[in-house]
Amino acid sequence: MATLDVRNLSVCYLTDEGVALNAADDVSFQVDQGKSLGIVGESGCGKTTVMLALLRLLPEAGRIMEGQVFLEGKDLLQCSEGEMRNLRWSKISIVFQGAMNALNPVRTIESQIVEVLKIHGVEGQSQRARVRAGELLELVGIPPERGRQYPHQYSGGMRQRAMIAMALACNPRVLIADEPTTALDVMIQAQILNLLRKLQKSLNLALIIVTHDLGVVAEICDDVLVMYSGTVVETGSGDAIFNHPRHPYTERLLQAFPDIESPNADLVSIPGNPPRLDELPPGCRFAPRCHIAEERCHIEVPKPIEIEHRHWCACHLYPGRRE
Amino acid sequence: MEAPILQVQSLRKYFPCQRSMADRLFHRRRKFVHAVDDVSFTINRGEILALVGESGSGKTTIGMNVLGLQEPTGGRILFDGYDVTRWARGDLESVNSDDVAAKKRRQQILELRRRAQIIFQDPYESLNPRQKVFETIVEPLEIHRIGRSAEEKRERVRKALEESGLAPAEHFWDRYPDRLSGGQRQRLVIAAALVLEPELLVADEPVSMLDVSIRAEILSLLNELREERNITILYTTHDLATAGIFTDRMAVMYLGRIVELGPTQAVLSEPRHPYTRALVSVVPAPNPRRRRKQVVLEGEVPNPIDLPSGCRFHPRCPQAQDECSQIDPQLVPVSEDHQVACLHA
Repeated sequence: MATLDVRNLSVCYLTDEGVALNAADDVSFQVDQGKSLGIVGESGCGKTTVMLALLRLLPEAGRIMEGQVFLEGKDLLQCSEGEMRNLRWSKISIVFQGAMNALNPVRTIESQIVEVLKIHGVEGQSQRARVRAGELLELVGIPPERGRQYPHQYSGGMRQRAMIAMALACNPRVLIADEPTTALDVMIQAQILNLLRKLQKSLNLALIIVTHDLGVVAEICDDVLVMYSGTVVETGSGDAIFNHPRHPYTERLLQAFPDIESPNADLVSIPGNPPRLDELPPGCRFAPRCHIAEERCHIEVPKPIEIEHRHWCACHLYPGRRE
Repeated sequence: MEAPILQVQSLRKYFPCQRSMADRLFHRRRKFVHAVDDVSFTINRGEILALVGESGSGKTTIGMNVLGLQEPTGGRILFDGYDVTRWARGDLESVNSDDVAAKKRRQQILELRRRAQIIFQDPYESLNPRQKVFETIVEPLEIHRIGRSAEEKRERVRKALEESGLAPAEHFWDRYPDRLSGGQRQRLVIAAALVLEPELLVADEPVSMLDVSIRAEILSLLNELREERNITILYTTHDLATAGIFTDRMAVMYLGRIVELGPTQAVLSEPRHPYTRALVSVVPAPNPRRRRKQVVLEGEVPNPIDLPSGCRFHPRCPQAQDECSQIDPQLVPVSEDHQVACLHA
């Protein structure tokens, strides 16, 4: 049984006029203990929406239309709000995008971690909570004595480390990192990715990395899920996705990614823009931008097909399209 | 051979730090942020130079000084032979319009500014949300008094838009920026620079805010401009991968200095400076089979106020030796057009 098992999750946002905009459609994936999954897609493709939905943290306009989210066998979508509050942070935690800028500027890093420990009842006693906070900082590579400093005394990379420490405060089974390295310099990005990789192994975490950066995924993820306009277009192992991509969107996305080892390869761009949620095409959502789309692509929504073991692709042109 | 269009000679730019009350009481000397400290390079007409470095390395400051948006602390910048170091001081508004010499000087500065333009990083913030596309592009023409008739201005705006890939122009020019996608906004920013027919473009991280699938479009557009119009581009970025694609030469910066300068392919395939080597090693390859042996540097770039002695990189350098903390290495040639500032390169 997978630690986190998301099945057929669909999410809508209601507009003021009462129109439901489909932001995520029929999304399914699993993550096991000690494994990592990368969710890639461009801005607006619904990757953050899916994460918020499974944590039941959607903004007011968001509605989960259908689906199940099993965390160690328990369906999160059936839990009461109280149960959910206990599970968040203690079983499943998230480092939000840009969270490093959300630290309270007038309180020390240590006191902010202590607060998490107390609220979740991990350590009630202040002295012990402070010791634990120090251990957590050490775990993410920050000298414990720097816990007495304020966020402005930390660099961006250190604040991100502090956020990761906070997310790990209650020993969660699943850690979600939403764009963990966006806005960080390349060297700091490498440090943070190494840290996440190390923590995933040593704490046996089920790790989900949400990012627009294929390079980040290639560096640390075992499995990859590619999203486009709210739908999953392809999932598989990192090796399968990067070396045998099947969906035309994945193919193009890889060709659009610059590689310093083959600088002369032509960079491809994908003409056009992703569809607006209120103007979704009736068939495959990628069809209007697809270079090999056929007539039925514009009419019929493609179903995901398992083209190889654990490699799924939602494209009409499979099976039958040659490599 | 034609002289380089841009020559930067020993450029220095220091920013004064605020002094605290205690500093004043004890007459402590004011400290300075050494944003750019003795940087020299040249760019030939029609060439694209990548200025690569982490945040705080001084790359944006160089771009600002080249355009005369800041006044250098020292050194010279020659743009097509003119010393533009004093651009920033030539306050256009305060010039007394009766003075013929001042008027002429003003004309000269305006003309130089027209010839060197900038593309900013964030197309979501660099456009006025209350200006329509047409107004955004016609404004530079009005400032520079280009185009005699409304008709002529219109034609110039159309040309700039279409060359930047916003065609047909009629389709776009009555829109506000919020009706444009990120890629289209950046094209609009490029059009606003192009309408003045500049010879030098400073592109400051022009694609870092854009999605991967549209980055290539913008980069190819810049490359086309170079090929068709022979525009010179100074491309500043922290992203070695995009810098590797279409630039001719690359200058790698660390703490206000150029540590390595050479043809892009040589720098990327055979980096000589230990910092460049580390940077190249951590660029993610888009393939899990090719995960490289990384040289991840510990810690972070030190602050540019109290600089390390000797080589600025020595506290983090995996190959540092004793003399590195004493001798400040200068850029020296390691091959014909490849220079490195390292004692052990």
